[in-house]
Parts: sequence; C-alpha cells; structure tokens
Amino acid sequence: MIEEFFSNWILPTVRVSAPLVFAALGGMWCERSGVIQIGLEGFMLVGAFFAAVTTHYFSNPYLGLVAAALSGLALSWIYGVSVLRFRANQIVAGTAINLFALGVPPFLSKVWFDSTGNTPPIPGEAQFRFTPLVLMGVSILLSVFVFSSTRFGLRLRFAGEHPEALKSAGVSVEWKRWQGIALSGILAGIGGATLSTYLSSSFTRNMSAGRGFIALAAVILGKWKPVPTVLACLLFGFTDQVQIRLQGVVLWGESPVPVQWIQILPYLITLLVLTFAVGRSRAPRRLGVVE
Amino acid sequence: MSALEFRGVSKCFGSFFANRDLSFSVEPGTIHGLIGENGAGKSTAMKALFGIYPIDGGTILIQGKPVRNKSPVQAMRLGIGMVHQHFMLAGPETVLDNIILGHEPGFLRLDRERALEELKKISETYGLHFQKWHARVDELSVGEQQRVEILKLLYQRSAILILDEPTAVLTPQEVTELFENLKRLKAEGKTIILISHKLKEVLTHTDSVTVLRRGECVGTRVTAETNEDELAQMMVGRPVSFTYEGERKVFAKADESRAVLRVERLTIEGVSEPLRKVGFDLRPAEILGVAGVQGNGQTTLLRFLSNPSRYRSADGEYRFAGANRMGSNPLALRRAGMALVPEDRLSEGLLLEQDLVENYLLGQHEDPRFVRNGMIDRSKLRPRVEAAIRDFDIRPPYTNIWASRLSGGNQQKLVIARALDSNPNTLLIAHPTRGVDVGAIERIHEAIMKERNAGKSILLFSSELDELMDLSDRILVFYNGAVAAEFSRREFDPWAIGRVMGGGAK
Repeated sequence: MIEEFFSNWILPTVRVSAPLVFAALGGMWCERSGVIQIGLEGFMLVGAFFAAVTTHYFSNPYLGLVAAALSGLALSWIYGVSVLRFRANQIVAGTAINLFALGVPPFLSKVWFDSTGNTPPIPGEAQFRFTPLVLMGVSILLSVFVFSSTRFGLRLRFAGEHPEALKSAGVSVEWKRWQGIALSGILAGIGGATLSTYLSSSFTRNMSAGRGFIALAAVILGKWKPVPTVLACLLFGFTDQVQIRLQGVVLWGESPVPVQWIQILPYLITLLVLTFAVGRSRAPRRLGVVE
Repeated sequence: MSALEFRGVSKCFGSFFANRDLSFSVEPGTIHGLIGENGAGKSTAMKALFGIYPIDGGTILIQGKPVRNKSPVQAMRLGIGMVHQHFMLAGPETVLDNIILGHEPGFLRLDRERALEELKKISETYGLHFQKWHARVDELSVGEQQRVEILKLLYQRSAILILDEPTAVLTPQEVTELFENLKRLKAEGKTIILISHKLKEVLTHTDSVTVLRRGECVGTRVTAETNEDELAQMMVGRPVSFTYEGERKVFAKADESRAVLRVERLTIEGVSEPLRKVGFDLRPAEILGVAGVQGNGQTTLLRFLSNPSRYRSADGEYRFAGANRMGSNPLALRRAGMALVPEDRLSEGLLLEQDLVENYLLGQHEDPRFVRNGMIDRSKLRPRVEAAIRDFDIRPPYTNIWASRLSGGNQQKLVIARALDSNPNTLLIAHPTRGVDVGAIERIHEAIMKERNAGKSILLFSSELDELMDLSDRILVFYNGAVAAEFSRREFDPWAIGRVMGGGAK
C-alpha cells in the first residue's frame, strides 16, 4: 500500500519537480543577490538542448549534464554583462535572453541534424535513471546550508537587501551579483538537462514550456527562501503529475475531459496561488536596482 | 598626539572647492563636534577620510601617521568607523548577522557563537546593555538600531567613531540615552566625532568643536569656552539672532467680529488625534500660534482646516472668508484666499523628482495666471520661480533642477515662496523652520512677519516654543484634543505655556 503510494504519487511528483527545483534554486540565488531573473526559461532551454546533443554524441549523460551547466553558465554570463556591466533593464534583458534561447536549438539542430527542432534520441542506456534525484537532494541540502550558515550566503543576501551595508563592510556587491547570476545559469541549465536526458530521451522544440517561469513563481511563492521554494516546486510538480494522470480519464459523463483542459491545470494553479496565496511575500529590498 | 588630524586638506569637484585647506585636529578620548550648515563640507570631509573621495591636496593623519585611504575598508582597518544617517542595516536579517557582516568568524561555517560571545563582552565593557541579538533589525526601535550600528563599529574595533547627525531620528529619551552611551565610550578611550547642525546639542555634549563654512574651516573652539551666539556667527558668517527683532506693526485693536476664520465646537472623533469642542477666531493682521506636545490634536486641526472634505464626521462650525466651509475641498479654500505650508514638506509639499517649476505649479494648477484653457503656460510660470529664487535666496539658483537637489532649508523656502505667490489673505503654516539651517530661519521668520504686517492672518503651528513666542500675537495651547488655554502676547512665559502643554492649569 505504502509502496504503491510511493511509486504512484511521490516518486512521479519528485521526478517532474526536478527541473523546477534546480531552476528555482538558481533563481533564488540570483534574485537574493539583487538581480531579477526571468531568464531561467532560456537557461533551461539551452541546458536541455546541449545535454541532449552531448549525450547523443558521447552516450554519456554525465557529460551532458556538464554541457548543460556550461551552456547555462555561458548564457547567464551574457545576461550578467548586459545587466551588470551595461546596466540594461533586467526585465528587458531577461526577455531577450529567453527569445535568444528559443532560437538557438532549432538553428543548431538544423545545422547539425538537418531538423529544426528535435534532436536524435539518446541511447536508452545513456538515459539517467535516478542520478538527477540524488543531485537534486544534494543541491537542496547545499543550498540550505550555504544560504543560512556560510559567509557566502550571508553576503549574497546583503547584496540584494542592503548593498550599501555590504559595500561599507568592504565586500564587492557586483561580484556577489555575478556569482548569483552564474549560479542561476548553472542550476537552471542542469534543470534543463533533466528535461531532455531524464524525463525524456531527446530534445524537442521549446521543451521547457514555461517551466522557467513556473520556477520563478516558486521562488516568489517560497518567499525567496530555499526550503519554501523547494516545497513550492513540489506543489507545482504535483499538479503537473495530476495533469498527466488525468489525461484520458473519464471523470464524469461518457467521454474524457479534453486533454487541453487538463493541461491548463499547472498554469492555472500557478496563477491562482500567486494571486491569492502569496499574500505578503516580500522581495529582496533592492531587487532589480543597480546603483 | 592627535587621534585624527586634517592638514590643509582640499577637495574640489571641477572648479568648485567642497573642502579648501581644511585643518583641524581631534584629541584622543574626546567628543569632537563638527558643525556647519548644509553644504558646508562636513560630509565631503568625512568621505575624504573614508577614502570614498580621493583628496586633491593636503594630508590626513591618523594617530600621527599620514594615511592615504583608497577605500572604506582601509579606513576601517585604521580604526575609523561611521554611523551613517541612514543606517547600514538590513531589516529582515538578524542583529547578529548585521553586525558580523564583513568580519564573519569561522571557516566554511559561520561561527555565530563565537561572535555572540565577543559581542556580549563588548556590550558589557561599554555598558551598552543590549540583548536582542537574534531579533530581526526591523523589529527594533530606531534608537536600538542606532545602538546596533555603534556595536558594529565596536565589533570592528574602531577607535574613532564618527556619528552623522545621530539625533535627527531619535526621540528626546533616546537622545539622552545616546549621549550617556557616548560618554561611556569616551571614558573607555574611544574618540568620537559628532557631525551636527544642532548647536545646543553640540554645546552640551562635546569637548571641542570645529566649525565649517562653505568648505573652509572657520575655527576650532573648546566647547566650554564658547557659546551659541559665537558658533552661530561662525557657521553663518554674520551675527545671527535667535529671536525675531524686526518690526512688529501695531494695529488698532482688532475687531473680533472681523474674524476671517472661525472655528466653533469642532469635534472630530475616530482619528488618531481627535479634537474635542475646539473653538477660536483668526483675525486680520495677526499671527495666532498653536502650541502643544505633538499628538494633542494639532495635526488633525491643520488637516481639517486645509481640507475639511476629508473629515465627513466632523461636527461643529467652520467659517472662512464669510462662508460655511464644512465639507469644502482644498481648491475651494484656496480660491477663497487660503494658502498652506504643510507639516512635512517632503511627503506633502514637494515632488522630489520634479524640477522647481513643476513644484511651483503644485496647487496653482488652476490659477489663470499660469493656465489658459487647461494648458500650462510655463513661460509665465518660470519668471515667478526665478523671482522666488531671488527673493528667498534659494540655492542653487536654478529652475531646472530637481527639488531633491535643494537642502532642507532651501526646500522650505521654496514651499513658503509658493504659498505666498497667490497673495493669499490667510496662511496656515506648519513647522516653518523644522530641519532648516540657522541662516535660513531668520529669513523665513522675516517673511512670515512681513505678511502679518501687511494685514494677513496667519495660523502658525510649531513645536519650537521660542519660535511661537517670537512671532505670535496670541498662542493657543492644545492638550488632549482641546484648546487648554490661550495666552496673549503680554502673558507669554515659557514655563507657564510649558505647564499647560503638559496638562497643567494656566
């Protein structure tokens, strides 16, 4: 009974939550340092693509994971240059990152595989079994520890909350923000890798499908704190899970509920939760302000 | 050997000298006042000391050794710490985390226990009696937050503590406490520099004072050997009178029936400062002062008089310029000849991020002099602003700068000039000199008196009893939402008025 519950509900929920958890933790680090991060979607997308391509070529998902992290890091570096070095508006720059990331995979897969969108499937034996879940657990524990109990966490929090105080304590605010942005690139890239090499076995066009934004919603719902953020991801993962299970199920009458209606669920719940449940979620005081 | 010495220090921005040839020294183990009007160069000097600005000439010596600070961190290592006017504390974080930031003990994992132990020792040594180490900073009172800032400096082992206008944000009780703590720090050998423009405070609590004016050092005095008049003259550059000594025109006994503004049995309940059966007349050619400890109904009265429509539940009578004004809106009152200098110029009087012309238009947006067919005619408005800048000596004298660029005194001059612009017959003026430099206070008092002598009626709200007694013809004292007593000019006596303010009998 318990075993059945675990394999039917808990495990699938955790599985589909994995991409969200990685991206949301990245988003949390970035926003806590004072930089708005709506580019998670883009980082996930390039992460998913490069993980699939690398795994396809080398039949090694670990290399895919590294490729995803590096590609996310690279894209986040572009974001960092535009918002920290050139002080671009963070919403506009983040949107640009997302649009850019939307175009990269089709372009490269056209060049490499003569197909605009999907990559060739990765070999079955190269698909992840449970490593991403272990990695996820480690990421959560590390995030919690670093966030509240280390020098790095303390200083990064001050970069978003009171940069002047950090500066007068002799610490570079900009460097902390670079680190926050880099973490979001790496983690969201890994989140993307779990989409293409763990939850499925190839990259398909726009496969992140708004998960980057849902991850950001989880950060906000989690009040920019690691544990609540992860719980919010699990909530969204659960609704996604329910959505998958409800497809084709006859709830009432004779025919099943149209699949399109079911698929609305995760997004609808995100919207409702953000509107009604968040209440007084308080952003870092200097989020989005570059002085 | 001096703890700190400035030797001919200069700092310029372009051709403008923010500090010119500044020389003074601070003895160790003393409280040293650094005073000057806004813009006199106090903060530039301190920023130079902190290495925020590189200096263009001269030498700064700490403990007798010349230093070239290139960053605040370096200054910190040399034992200099500063409590800024706006605290460097993050509200949602704990007191402990705020204090250890930048100097966190522990490898990998923060060793909060060790920091706490050290802090407890420090707070005991200096008698600061602080316990709320694990509270969030935004749960503390302003006075407690300031103590956290001081603890932060002590934790960083600062030997020289600079406090920038530390009393501006404190209640009188907190001020007393602050200075007691500073005396204890001094007794333990710390050197304290107190930046201030409140002369009384500097005279009572410092050992020596350096006065700056227009970027230059006017002189240093031993506090015990100087007085308010001398310091004020040094600050402003000319003798300053703290009492209005100009002309006070004597009019024939005002006919009470000619009151321009009359309030009777005014009662407003259900607000934080209720009013109970308030009644008074405001007559032509008089300044009627309103005194009282803050929170006894003056704020409600001012808000009601300037905008009765906000108080639907008000009961009683309010007549102004020959008409019943219960429920009137501010525009109607303005058209009838009323002008207002609000309590808080920052939140109610100015748009900080707009230029002076826009600010001057505020409230005059229906005045046919400036507006035709609903279109603002800036070409008509600008000369008026320029005239105001000239008449009131507003600095810097530009119409196209944001109001936030003006110092508090100059902002206030702009607000008063605007109130007078439409040639009103009645003025409601609140706290005209709050946060204003001594030099500007005189000019503002003169302007108010000029209006009175021209036959205008003025209702003057102030928390400065001296100011009220200088200017007013009569004073109403508010206590607990009612007029507790009225004093005529012959009866003015600070002790008697103070007693009524505290709830006693006249």
